[in-house]
Amino acid sequence: MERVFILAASSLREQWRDRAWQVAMLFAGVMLYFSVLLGILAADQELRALLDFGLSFIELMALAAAIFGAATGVLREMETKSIYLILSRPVSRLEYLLGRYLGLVLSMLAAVSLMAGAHLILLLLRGWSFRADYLLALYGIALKVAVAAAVATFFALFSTSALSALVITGILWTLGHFIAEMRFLAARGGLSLLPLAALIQLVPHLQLFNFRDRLDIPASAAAGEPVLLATAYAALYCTCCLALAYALIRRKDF
Amino acid sequence: MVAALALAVIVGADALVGRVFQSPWPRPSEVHLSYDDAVRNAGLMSLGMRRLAADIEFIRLLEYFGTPSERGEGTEAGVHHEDESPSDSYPEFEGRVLRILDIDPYFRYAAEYGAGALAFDLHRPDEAIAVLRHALARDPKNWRYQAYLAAIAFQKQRRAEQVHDQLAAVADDPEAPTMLKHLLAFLDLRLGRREEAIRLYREILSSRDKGYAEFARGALKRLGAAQDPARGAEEP
Repeated sequence: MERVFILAASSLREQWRDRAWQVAMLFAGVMLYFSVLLGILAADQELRALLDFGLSFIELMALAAAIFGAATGVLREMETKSIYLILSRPVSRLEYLLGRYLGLVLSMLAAVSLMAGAHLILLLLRGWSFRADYLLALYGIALKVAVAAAVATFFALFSTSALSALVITGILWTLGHFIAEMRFLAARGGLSLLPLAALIQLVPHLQLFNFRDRLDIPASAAAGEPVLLATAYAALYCTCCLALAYALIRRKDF
Repeated sequence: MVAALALAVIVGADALVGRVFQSPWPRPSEVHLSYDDAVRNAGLMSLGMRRLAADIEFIRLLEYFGTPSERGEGTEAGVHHEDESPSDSYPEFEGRVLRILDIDPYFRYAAEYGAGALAFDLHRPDEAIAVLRHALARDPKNWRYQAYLAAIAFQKQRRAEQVHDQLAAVADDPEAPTMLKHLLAFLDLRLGRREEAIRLYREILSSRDKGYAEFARGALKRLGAAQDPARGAEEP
């Protein structure tokens, strides 16, 4: 386990030094600041607009950083042959994979915390009163992005192309928010949509984690947020994706 | 073996979540967005940003209501008129509010703002009732919508005092639309309750809606109450 943490720390440092990651964080800061304009346009609903835009943007930037890191990280180490150096030491392939993934998740959590800090300062300056479900929304974002990073890790190894891993993860991200709609279509489409019905069984159920989109739903319409279910589901889904990735990396000839 | 097991677990977990998790959003068959609306909002909806999509539609509604209507001079947003004949200005207003509520049925402010503007600014109570019924279908226990419905019913009977009493209960909420407080102040003046109107106009001064704040400042000057006793200074 110690080796996993060493690899995770190294992966985290690598992410922080990555120019793309730094530019993404800078861009996020600038965009959060410019969201003030959107808030002004919303008049009485300024705080709601600022809250929604900020949380949505934090999620998008964390997603971009996470799937980019997942899709390029392992492949880059394969290309530069630095993976040989790591695996020639007493590090198993499973430990390597877990270390890389853990580092990626930690860097994503750091990014979310950084952006959320800036967002909170902006909101408080505009007269917002802190509400605890803000933290729940951030937790949902972290779960979603952790799942997306696991999916991207698997597809990076499966397709051995960073671009296709990015595209496939992006498509699954979209489909993961449309499961109810896909079920509706599949139920109406008959045999012609059988492949879609099969695909639904594999796509991550991202609406489950979408706490930030359900902030003001009255208690009469929803019986509390399924936090435990979401946590267990995310843990299971990530484990399965990493198991699939492990099945692939185990067969690679390094 | 590992891969097959992982895939089986994913299928099982997805099936379990599908059964246990009940989405609070309307089913696709219950949403009636036009083709253009669906296309415009598809991007944000596909990223799971339903609230943000509703916010952007709400901003578009405010822009629409803030732009002088092509049809007649009837109504200027933010200014309540004595003339209570139905206005044919802003013909898309009801449709736009319903669109917001289709995207986010729990956007309470949009429903209240839309119904209030339709009933009391544009004098189209039937459209306001349609908006409130749409909102109530998703949030049936919301007593505020019921209060609006009652106020609209009294408005139809031209019973200003009852309209005032119904709306006053709703306006106490800090989240109440500024437009509603503005209307209440107007009714207070009509009913001879000058002090109450002044209190409401002072509340409106701190609104984030600059248009209403500016109007309230003018109204306070006209009422000779530009000086706020709580602050002991002249309002800027």
